[in-house]
Amino acid sequence: MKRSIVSIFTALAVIGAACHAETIKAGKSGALAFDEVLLPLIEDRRLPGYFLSIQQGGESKLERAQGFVDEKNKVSPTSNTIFEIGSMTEPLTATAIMVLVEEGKISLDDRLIDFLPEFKGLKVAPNGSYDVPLVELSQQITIDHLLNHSAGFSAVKRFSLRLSNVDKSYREKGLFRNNAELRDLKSNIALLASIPLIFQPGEAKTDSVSYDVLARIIEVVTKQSFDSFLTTNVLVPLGMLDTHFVVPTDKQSRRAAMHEPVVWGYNVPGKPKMYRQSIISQTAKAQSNIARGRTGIKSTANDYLKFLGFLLGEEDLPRLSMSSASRLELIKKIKGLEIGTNNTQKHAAHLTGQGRFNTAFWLDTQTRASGVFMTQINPAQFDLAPTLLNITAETFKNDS
Amino acid sequence: MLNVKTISLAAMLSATLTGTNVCAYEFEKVAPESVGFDSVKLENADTKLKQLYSDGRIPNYVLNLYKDGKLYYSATGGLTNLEEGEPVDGDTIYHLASMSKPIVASAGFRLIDEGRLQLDDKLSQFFPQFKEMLVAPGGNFENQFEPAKREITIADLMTHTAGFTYPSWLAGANDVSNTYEETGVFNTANGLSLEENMSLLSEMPLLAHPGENFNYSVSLDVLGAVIEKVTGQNLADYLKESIFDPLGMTDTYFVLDPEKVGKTSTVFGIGINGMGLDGNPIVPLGKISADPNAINWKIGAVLPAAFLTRTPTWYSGGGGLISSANDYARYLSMIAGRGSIDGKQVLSEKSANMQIDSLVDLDFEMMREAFGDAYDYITFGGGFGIKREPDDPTVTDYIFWGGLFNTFFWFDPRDNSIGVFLTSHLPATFNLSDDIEDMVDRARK
Repeated sequence: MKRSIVSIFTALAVIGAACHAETIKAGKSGALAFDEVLLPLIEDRRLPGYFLSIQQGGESKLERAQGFVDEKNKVSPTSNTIFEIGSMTEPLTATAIMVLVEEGKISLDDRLIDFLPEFKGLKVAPNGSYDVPLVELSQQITIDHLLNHSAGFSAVKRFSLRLSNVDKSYREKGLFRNNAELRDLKSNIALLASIPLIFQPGEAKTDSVSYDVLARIIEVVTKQSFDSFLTTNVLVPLGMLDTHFVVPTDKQSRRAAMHEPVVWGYNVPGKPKMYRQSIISQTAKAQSNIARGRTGIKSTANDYLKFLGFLLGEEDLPRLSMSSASRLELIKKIKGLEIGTNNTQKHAAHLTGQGRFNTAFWLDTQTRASGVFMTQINPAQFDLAPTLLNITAETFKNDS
Repeated sequence: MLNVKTISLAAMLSATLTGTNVCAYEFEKVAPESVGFDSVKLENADTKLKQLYSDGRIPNYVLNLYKDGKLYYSATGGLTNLEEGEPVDGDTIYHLASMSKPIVASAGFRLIDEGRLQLDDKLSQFFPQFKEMLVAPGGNFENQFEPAKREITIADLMTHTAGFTYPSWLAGANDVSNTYEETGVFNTANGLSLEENMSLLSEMPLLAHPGENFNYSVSLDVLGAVIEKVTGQNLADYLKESIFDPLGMTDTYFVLDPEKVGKTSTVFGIGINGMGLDGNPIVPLGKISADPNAINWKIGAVLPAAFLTRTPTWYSGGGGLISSANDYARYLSMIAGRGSIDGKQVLSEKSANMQIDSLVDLDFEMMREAFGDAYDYITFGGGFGIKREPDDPTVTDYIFWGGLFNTFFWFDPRDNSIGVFLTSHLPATFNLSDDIEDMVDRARK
């Protein structure tokens, strides 16, 4: 009994907004430390299942599968289960941009309006408000701004009575909306050009649709669809052959079911599930198949580890030729990745990222260890990447 | 007409007489042993709650147990505003949220007792805009819309079988619940009148045919609108006159007296996906005093008590009431007494029984979505959930309901013992009702 109370608290410790997660104390390491964090998520019925995989120096070091990816048919998660990875799409988009930079086709200082003239009339609505007059741009948006989410675009947000005017415009115009008219990347970006920014380029950073703009720039520069350029120039060279915007029919059976959290408005007898399988409409399915720079990729643990191995410069993996300088630049540019020193590994550059569906990845340049956590719940409930990074760095520090 | 005038005059008189200086009803306190409970075993419940509190998971708690009109056990912890305010007790005022629903259903049954409303009355008799409803089966707009097979009745509203739902953050995402969320219909902060909310709701398709499925919903808000229409009074006044005053519930209302902010619990929590109900992120407070032994709060501020002093643009019968454990126990004592309390019949015995007997004639499978794995031993009465014994569905284990802020109550129809648990945590994260009820059951001699 006591044990189960303790595990409930361990699980709750990681609930909530991304910035508030409690991280595991330094010194916790090994397979048991992973179990201590992850098992309660299944035991307390907070997640239907997950797959965890860790590699070091290109070699698989640890795998853990718990629960189900499809409870009805009792399908267990594996390294080849296909998950929607949400904004873990963005690092792949950034990689495509860096490929073009290396080829000299674009530079980070290039201006958005030189690729997409529809953004020429863009203005700023300070703090997203239409109560004050719109302001002219103090400088043009560059590719660099887009890469680090400082262009001034906002994100498509959940309904709330307190949305800013700009956020309401995103919703009312149906930008990248599930239940809106189906639009391709090009028309969505044209729509975006008609809505003001929420701050001046370079003035702040916020989670945004700017990677969708990058994807559209790639289409204009390469005269190919974003899907086709990414597949040919990033995914295939890296051997990520199970990574797609549109999952082929013969691989559909490998997909994980999507779930959503259950908010109980009242106490329920027994120990209820805190999630349920989502009902996805045909239009929502069609929307999720649109190739975007921000989200939309479906991938496997196996495939994503190949990408992380590439970022770490592993030799034995399929190769995407890119200079180590560009690769380091890429690690720095990738959105949401906290570059810096962590408490247990002084001066080691590390990276974490998490998708909308609670998938996560992390890598540590000192130990050359990296990992992915795959599950499928929308929106993300647990901020696991920092904790799993710490355990990974601690567990594999002596092997490096 | 004359009748209505007399009633409002009576309401005015009682408002004048009760004023703000009335004292809360005081329950006689007795030892657990005197009503057949083991005081040592009851401490298990306090131990469990104290652990949650000292871990910084819940801001405070009141667990009061009553039998035969007497308070036989009380476990409390914490202050009304974390480390500020007053220690909480049975008179501390809490946000009831969905624990408002049984009370509003009782008010509906009062009108039925008086012959002013019938269970099979159609909603369209009061709000004609609900006459011809469309159904989007399963809440999916891709399905062919169907005209409702029959009209929504008052009984449907009492039992969440009208085909209404809640916004998607609470009900789960489907096209109908998304529409509720998009429009803010029956959102307590939407600034609309009750009449405007009703018109907006009537424009949205149902997600099931009336009477065919159980969907936890805004239907008690709708019943509140019907009560206003039938009585010509606002819901706050009618509840006061028909329920709160007769039962001596002096601290139950929709709008908090500013003088009572200090004895009212502020809402804290982890929020819905890290967000408060207003869409702003919730920040865990951590240690808020320099004391090394201070509680490390894992929760953030959600709704200050002072917010409850605002008069809403419409009274939410489904979730707008605030009350204390003792007040709520007075209400439950009346239900446990099958409508009668202190020799007074506040509700007819027949109506009280209908509230706590199953009113839904549905396959248990229909309850799955609403009750998770407990679905095969749960049914629903007039505003109350009914839990059967899992191994013998003919025996009722307890009658219960709870609120979004992690509150709950239950009573055991075998001996009419009552439990009220109040705290102020968004959302109902800690599923305590079964554990606590079980601990109390085990303490029974």
